[in-house]
Amino acid sequence: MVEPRPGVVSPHRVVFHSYALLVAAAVAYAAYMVPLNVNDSLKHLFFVETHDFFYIVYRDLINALGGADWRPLHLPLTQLTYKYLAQGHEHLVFKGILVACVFLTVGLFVRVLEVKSWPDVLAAAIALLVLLGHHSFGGAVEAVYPYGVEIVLLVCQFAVLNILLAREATRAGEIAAFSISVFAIVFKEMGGFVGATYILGSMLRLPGGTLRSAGALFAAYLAVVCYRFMVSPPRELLAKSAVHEYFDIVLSAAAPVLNILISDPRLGQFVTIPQAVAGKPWAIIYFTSSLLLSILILVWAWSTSRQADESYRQEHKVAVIFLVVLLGSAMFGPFSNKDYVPIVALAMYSVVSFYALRWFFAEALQVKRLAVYAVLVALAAGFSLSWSVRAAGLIYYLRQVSFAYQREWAFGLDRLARTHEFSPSITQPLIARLRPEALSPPLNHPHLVYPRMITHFMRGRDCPEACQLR
Amino acid sequence: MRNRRNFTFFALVGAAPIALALGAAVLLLAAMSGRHVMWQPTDADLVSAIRHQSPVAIKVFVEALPSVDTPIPFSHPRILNSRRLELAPLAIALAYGHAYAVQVLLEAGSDPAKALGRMSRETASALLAYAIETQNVLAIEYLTTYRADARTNVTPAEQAK
Repeated sequence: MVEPRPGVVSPHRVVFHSYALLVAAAVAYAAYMVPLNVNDSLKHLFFVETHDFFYIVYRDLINALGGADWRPLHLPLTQLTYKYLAQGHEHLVFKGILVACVFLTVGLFVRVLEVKSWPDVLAAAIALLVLLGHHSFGGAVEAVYPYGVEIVLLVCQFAVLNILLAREATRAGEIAAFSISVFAIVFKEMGGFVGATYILGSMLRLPGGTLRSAGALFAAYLAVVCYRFMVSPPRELLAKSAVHEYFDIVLSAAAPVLNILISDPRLGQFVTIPQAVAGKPWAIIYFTSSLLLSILILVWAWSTSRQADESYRQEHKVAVIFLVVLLGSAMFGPFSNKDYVPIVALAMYSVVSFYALRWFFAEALQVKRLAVYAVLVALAAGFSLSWSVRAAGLIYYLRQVSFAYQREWAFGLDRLARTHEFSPSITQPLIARLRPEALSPPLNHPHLVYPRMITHFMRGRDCPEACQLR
Repeated sequence: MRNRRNFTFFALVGAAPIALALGAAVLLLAAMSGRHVMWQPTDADLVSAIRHQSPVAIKVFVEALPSVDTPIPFSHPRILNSRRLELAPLAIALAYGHAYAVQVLLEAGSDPAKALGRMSRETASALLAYAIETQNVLAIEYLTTYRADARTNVTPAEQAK
């Protein structure tokens, strides 16, 4: 499915790949310009500066603190990057990794999509904008941790999806899928969906998966999960979660699922729908674009479910994986209400969006009655416009993140980086080196930079905080 | 007919993604030419910076001002009924109750007597009435200290608050 025919350069692919490259470059540039964060990044740099590598590995892997987070690779990798790669060029190296991940994510995403015609190109371009424009993606590139943890999960997810959708299984593919999946779950708990994707895809007999490697991966995951729950038992984890009432737990579990499907609730409260009802343009765009796309996916799945075409059957298998990953993301809802929690589900949502949009465009172009055709074209244009606005909003959001991080450097440095916990001989030189870079050039709040009209359409990304701004 | 329909479809559906790509291209070209248009402080004025509580921008604009007491065009619908007046930045900062902006302006050498002495008694009264309404202690303190005449237009009910 994803292998191009040798010697044939399809103009559709060239156009779509060029488009994706251009958009990815703009996102990468915007992400690179965001200063390093104080609250997490600088604090972690202080920590890795003052602790031995083996102590950090021991602390995070064997003697973890027992919170909901279990990311034993995170700080050791940060330390290796900081000490051996960055060497005084922290912004360049950490943000460079983030930029590489943005290009890898987009590159692996476009490789999954089979583009054969001009309507396919349009569908693929809009699916790319769904990936970049969904507010969950903003959390993946805002880089609270210096290189953006969630974007790494997206790279892993699309890499495994590419392996599953290859023409046939290979030994290299099996080893790569196994390694990537194990890395993902140890890197961040939500990365477990990467392996779940491979196991489920193999069970559904997607061409690139094998039951042998799926079995091996399942055993490895079982070992990792058992070990992880030895560190923190599930009951203890739930006790430490933000919610305690059973009703709250159910609502919090549903939140990541709804967040992907209808763009609400966000950060633990319904924001988009009330603001849409109040007539706020950004909220109307967010809610209707997500709701209509989710409905379109349902209609596509229903309409094509009885077709015997092999390609449809493969697409439906991907849709099944999407459903499982989406519902699975409910597990993390009670522990975090951040937008990026369902990030792996977003990867699958964008791919399934491509299938649904491609089918919809093909159907729309075959309609003979003018009135029906007009309605379908209006709907297609609505998808295109709304997701384009949302994708442009990503640049706006990153601009706002830059402002917020710069504010941290200017006014909240000691409090947020907890400098009092470390020796001044460690903190002062690092601050003296990083602070001027982070504060240059001084930034305005994006409300000041962009025309008011634009902010009305894009401000939804930063809700609920900025919704309070007049 | 079919061709015309196809053209309509591609024009309407493709317009927004193409516009987005053009925007991305402009952003990248500007970055490559060293302008970083999205990232430079803009010509948005100090009033906007204070209004949107943008501390970094306030510092930038205060440093850029020829004099911190230079009057700036300002309108606040609640205070001045949308009339635009020339007010010193300190008066504007007080109108928005922005303590940080007041602090930066004072550090930069703003003279409260001079800054608040410029405005008319009518404006000072309106500002004080609004400060009382919004329980803006800082503004009340400065206005009653430097514009004692502003109190004459405040109603007894407002004073009681």
